[in-house]
Amino acid sequence: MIVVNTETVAGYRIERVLGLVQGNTVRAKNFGRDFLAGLKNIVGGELSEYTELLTESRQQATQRMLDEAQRLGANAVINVRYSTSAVTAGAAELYAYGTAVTLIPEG
Amino acid sequence: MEALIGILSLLTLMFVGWFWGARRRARHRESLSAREQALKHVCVSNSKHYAASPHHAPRLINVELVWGIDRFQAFLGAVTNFFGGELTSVAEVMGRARREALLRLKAQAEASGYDALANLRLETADIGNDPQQRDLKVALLGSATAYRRLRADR
Repeated sequence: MIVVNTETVAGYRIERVLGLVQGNTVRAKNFGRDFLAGLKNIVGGELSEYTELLTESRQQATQRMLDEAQRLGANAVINVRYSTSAVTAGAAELYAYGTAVTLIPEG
Repeated sequence: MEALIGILSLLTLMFVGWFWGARRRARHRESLSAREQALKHVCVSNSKHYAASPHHAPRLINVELVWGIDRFQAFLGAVTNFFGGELTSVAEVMGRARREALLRLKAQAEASGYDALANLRLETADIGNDPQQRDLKVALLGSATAYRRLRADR
């Protein structure tokens, strides 16, 4: 499946727009990762524990969005966007959305 | 006595943050410069429109990054916050974090055989920070469409 954050895909044209598709996940930090990240934060730099948490969240939300697109019969999702919001002090939601379409090659 | 222990603990953390943090920051700046030089051939734009080769389907690529601000710089930021003015220490860290995120996007694009990025979006993410603001960190979400440029553009 072609997935892009642009409105068009070079070499293809949109045959049909199937609608908005979306996926989300809410994840909480665990105590172990939080503790390690707190120690690392004393000297600054990348907090890989949190980076991995964000990566897992993004992958899960994106997969749920793509599953919905597949159920609609799409072969591409365009104009993908991401958004986050804190739910509580220790948890955040990652929300992915885009437009499911069927593409056909140009020419 | 407790107050003294508290002050000593704070000073120790700040010293550790200043000493090791300065070394990490210097190493990171060098690494950023070297990788920016190596990946300067990957063209980046935040335009939605791009002239891509029709023979390689473009692809969405993503990056996530959470970057901590060391205790010493956080202290400097708190002092500035009290008197007002620009928090240059925090701004410097956020600038480096964005450069790091952009470099990881470029590296992913190059590894997948693409030589350009369109519709770059770099946004800060809200991940539920410590309400007492003891640990400062910035979370970034980046995305772009990777594509191969037309021969004439290369």
